[in-house]
Amino acid sequence: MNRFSLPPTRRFLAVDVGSRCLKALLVSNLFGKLRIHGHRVIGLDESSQPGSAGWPRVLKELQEELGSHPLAISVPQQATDSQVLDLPGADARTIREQIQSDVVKLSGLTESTIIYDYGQLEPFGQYTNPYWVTHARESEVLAGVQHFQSLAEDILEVSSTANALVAAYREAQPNPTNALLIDLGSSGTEVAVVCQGQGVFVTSFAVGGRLFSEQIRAERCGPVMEAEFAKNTENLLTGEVPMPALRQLVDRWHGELVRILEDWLSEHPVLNLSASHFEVILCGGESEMPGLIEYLRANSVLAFHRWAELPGFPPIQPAGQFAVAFGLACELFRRGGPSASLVPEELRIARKEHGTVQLLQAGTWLVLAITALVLAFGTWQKYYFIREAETQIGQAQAVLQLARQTDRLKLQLAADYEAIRPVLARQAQTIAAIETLGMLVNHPLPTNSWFVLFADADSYYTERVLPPPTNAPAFTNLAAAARLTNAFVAEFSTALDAANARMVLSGMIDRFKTNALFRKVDILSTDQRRRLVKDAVLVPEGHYALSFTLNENNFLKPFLPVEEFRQLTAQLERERTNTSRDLGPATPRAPNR
Amino acid sequence: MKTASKQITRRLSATIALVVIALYYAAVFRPLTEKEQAQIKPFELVQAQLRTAATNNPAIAGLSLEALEKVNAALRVSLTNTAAARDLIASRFAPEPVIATNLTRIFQLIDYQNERLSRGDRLINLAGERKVKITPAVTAGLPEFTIENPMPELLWGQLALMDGVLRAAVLSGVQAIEGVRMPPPVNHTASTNSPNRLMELPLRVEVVGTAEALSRWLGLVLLDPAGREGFKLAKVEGLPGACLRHILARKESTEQPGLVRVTAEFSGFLNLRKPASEPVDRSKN
Repeated sequence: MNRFSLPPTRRFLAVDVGSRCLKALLVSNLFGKLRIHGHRVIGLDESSQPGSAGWPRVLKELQEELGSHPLAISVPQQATDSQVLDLPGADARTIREQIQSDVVKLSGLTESTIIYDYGQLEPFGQYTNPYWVTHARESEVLAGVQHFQSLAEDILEVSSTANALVAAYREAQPNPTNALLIDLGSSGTEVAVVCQGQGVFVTSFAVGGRLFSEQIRAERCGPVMEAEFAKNTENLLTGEVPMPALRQLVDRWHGELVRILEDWLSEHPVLNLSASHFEVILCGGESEMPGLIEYLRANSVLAFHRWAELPGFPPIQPAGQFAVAFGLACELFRRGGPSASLVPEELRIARKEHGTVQLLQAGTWLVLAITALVLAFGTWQKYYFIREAETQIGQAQAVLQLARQTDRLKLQLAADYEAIRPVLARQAQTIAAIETLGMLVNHPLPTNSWFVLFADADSYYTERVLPPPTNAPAFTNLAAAARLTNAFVAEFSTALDAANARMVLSGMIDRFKTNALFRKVDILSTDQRRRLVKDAVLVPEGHYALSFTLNENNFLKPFLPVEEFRQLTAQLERERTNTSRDLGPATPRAPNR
Repeated sequence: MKTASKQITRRLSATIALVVIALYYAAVFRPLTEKEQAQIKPFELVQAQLRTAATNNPAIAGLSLEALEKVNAALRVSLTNTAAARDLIASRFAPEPVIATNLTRIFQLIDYQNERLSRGDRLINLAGERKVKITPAVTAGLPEFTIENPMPELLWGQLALMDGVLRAAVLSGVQAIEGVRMPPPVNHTASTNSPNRLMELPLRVEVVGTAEALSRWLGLVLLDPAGREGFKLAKVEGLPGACLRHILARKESTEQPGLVRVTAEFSGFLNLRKPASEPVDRSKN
């Protein structure tokens, strides 16, 4: 079976049903590491044997103690058979048919009533292409399976006790050693021979703890319970008062073990091994009988050891009691060694289908999880985008609103400014005129010098000129371009000679130039002058004119250029009409252009 | 076996999960997608509006929110200053209360002519007292109603301005007032939808006097009450504020070297409520 088809629960119950007790381990396999999460021993009496009335109570207790989990169970060794089949030169494609044919021959049963499994072994002894084949009657396996039907759990592994022992030993001892594994139970003894680390022979015989108890009862003529108690508490083999009859029975049991081993060795002389080359591991419920191991060590050629512990796990005492259950877990997880599974065919098929469905479901869940993740990511992304967009729209609208507000303020300011601008422009002219006039009045002049005229440029050029004196050239009308603008004109008359008069003029010009009011201060050329002053108040040849060009009057310009004003007005009007009903007050007054 | 029920449970849970995801898609994800799509349009619209706003308005082109706020704050300060200037101008150029009342009333020719005669008489009497020569053309030059005058109510303002300026000349001690003329008013309507109109009232006056008298006269006409007080000038009742638009001052004669002839053009201002039916005036200053 495929270990990947195991259910994802990952926890399993490995149950070894003996004649006197049920041993169970709660195990898991996480990334190849086998772990034991719990163990339980439940005693079985006559009334609670599998199939009897008390059996459901045992299962209920098991379920309460360790929970409901898929199962791996053992079937008694005597209900199965395992042996080595050598198929030298066999074609790999026909191995299954050959083994099936051999199994049918060996068992004497039809193909349909047999459950079998096989696995290839490493060549050993005289075998060049050995296979470890395990088979059993389907009815006997199904009967064992049905004992657990009331648990309503999947049974994922069925194995014989001996094969389970071998699997447990391989897990405990990965090195290719030789061992004789003995499971001493109440009703019988199961034996497995391990050669070079692989199970090569299994058998069982009907001598077990119950016979030992019977012998004690016969010797002491007491009840069975008493004999059983004495067997488990008194050292009747190597103690102060040994029981010879029990010793004889143990010797007989030991002799059977030696015979089995020597028979097997004699069948494989090529190995050139003797019994002393084998480590003898004793386990099972009866292996703990007081004095047994000591008696065997003292009286056997074999090197007896107890099953010390289950490898890699917290110590469970006695560890040998759980060896079969542990081996079942190893079989379940297929941790090395040939397959010896006795899972009925329909269970295998169901499990395979189940595995496929589970894979499919796992795939579905994976797709669903990815979809959910993608949706979650998409949702986050969209939330983020929407929030960002809302923030940016908000900011942009704030900027836009502020820009519109700025526009409205500009238009408002332009309108308000236009309402006072003519007054401000006239005031600026007034201040310039008064300041210039004041400077002229206060300017110190030589006693024989005086101003004869002061005028703004417009008045100077629009005033009617006086008629020219006889023989004097007439003043002609000046072209508009030659006229001063934004300026004042002052005419000056002096009796000084030309040189001194010019010095006075230069001084006056230099003084007026320092005033920020004027852009330019200069004398006026003759052709720009006009005859507005009577000759009577002038000194002949002593008549000069000065021009005072003012800096630009900023109040003559509107706040906004006409084009910009029109664009802003049109834009605000359009926005107010179309989109911004909620922007507040109406468009400000538009200045008249 | 329990497997069957587990299988059903697993299949059911997978189906439920699928349904939940489908529901989530339909109820949450799709609406979100639609909302996201819906955000694109207003986003592009605002961007386009911003681009347009920046293109048409050099003042905000390429400016950040902070810079815009600064511009905005500066504009508000300017608006406040403009409002303060407007208030100052209004108080400076406000006509005396009687004239202000008459400006808002329907023009009554009889009332105006009475007032014109009264002020003319007062001016002649005052000139006689101060020995200021006034030519007949001056009293005849006081604003007169004609049928062609589209805004006769302005005559009140013109009369007040001319009367005030001439009385100021008399009180300043000029030798003679030789001419006076009122060119047509100039309409400075601030905006097409402004409720007010600013009317400029030009006044051209020709006087002869000493430089000191003329200085006093200009001071009286052009300074505000505080300025007049500062220069200790005479008080002229009902003299509205005025600006000097043009000036031409000439030495008059050699016989009287101190005399100067001044031709000055003043501008008074009136801020009037604009009638709703008035057409837009496009005159420039």
